[in-house]
Amino acid sequence: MTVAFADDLMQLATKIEDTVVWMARAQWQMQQNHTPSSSGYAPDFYMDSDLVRKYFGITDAFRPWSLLPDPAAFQPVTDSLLQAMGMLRVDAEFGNPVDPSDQFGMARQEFQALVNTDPINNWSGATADGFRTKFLDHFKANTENEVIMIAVLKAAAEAQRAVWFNARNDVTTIGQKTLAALQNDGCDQSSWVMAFSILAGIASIAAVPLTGGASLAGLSVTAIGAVGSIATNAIPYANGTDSMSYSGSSLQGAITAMKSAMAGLQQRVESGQVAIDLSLTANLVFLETEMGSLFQMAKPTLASGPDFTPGR
Amino acid sequence: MPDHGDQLGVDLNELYRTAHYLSAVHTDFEQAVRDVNDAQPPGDSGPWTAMVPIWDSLRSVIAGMLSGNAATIEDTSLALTVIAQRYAATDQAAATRFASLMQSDQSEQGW
Repeated sequence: MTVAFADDLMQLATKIEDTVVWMARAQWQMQQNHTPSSSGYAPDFYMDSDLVRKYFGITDAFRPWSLLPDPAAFQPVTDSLLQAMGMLRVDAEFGNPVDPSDQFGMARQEFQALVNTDPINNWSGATADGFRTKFLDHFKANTENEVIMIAVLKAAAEAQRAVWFNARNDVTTIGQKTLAALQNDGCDQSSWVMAFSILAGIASIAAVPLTGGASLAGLSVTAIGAVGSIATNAIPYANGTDSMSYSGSSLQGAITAMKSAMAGLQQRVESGQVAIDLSLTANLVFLETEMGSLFQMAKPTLASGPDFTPGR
Repeated sequence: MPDHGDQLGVDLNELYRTAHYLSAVHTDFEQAVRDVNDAQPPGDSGPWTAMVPIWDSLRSVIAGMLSGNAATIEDTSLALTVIAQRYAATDQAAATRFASLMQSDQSEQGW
């Protein structure tokens, strides 16, 4: 996968570079022949293909982009996390609040029996009651909260995958539009619009939209909802079209436009990383702060004796 | 009035069942820990950080949380088993009934 993408992109880069070399030489020759041209001034080095390649640095500009991580490598990560979510899901009614479309498994029968019934119905006394109210009664909520946290982790991995998937598409589009602009040299169509897909692509998943519907024991639902809005605010173009116009009416102009589109893409990759980072940081703080109250099971004090009494 | 004899045996079997459930759930938590630990993101590629580093911090806190719960669940399962055994040791009739109920659970449920 990665190899195919890298090869394809570098082939495109070479094609752009070859086109530039050919055009530079043609422009220089026209200038020598005093043929009227709208292509602008052609310096003498335009006749030397090595110097043209070096000057425009097109393949060098594309090379780091050819190393963009492979989105497919994130599949095993999300698969494992989805499996963990299914191991701990005790209620068929419980869906993933981060991504309600998620399909995942169910915990085994014993697990469901433990949380959906009072398994020590025949026992009384302070210890038995404590075991019931402090441990068993929280078991389901604790477990569901844990599943939600795994879902947050999974959503972040999906957002990260989207960053690379969209960056690959966008950089390919930049190359294709550059080539088209060069081939339209001299025509009015040499200006082009680059619609960046990165930030819109991650908005829904990086935002970790845990809202009132989440089952967080009815307690800190608001707190975890706020986590979502932090991330959404960090994505400047998340809810609209994110595009920039470039115009390159000359060879120089087209390649300058290409490089500034790449710089724009770079900025958006960085913004995407920041958005994911912020969301995860907020979630990590939340998890660590609420560990004892919402996630970790309290170890019950259990001792046989008068406080743990058979019969009710 | 605490139960004794036959009825105590029934109560003890309830504890045994709960301990059994917890033991099964413990296994599931351990599996979930393994699944979360198996979720290893791809490494960096050239100038790109494939996954923001804090992702792994959250992943390991989650794994630790699940693992802590797995240990609590296992300890609780063992404690309930011990309680059941201690009560059984004090009442012969209860112990007999408990043993027979345990056996039928094992054969009927395949525990």
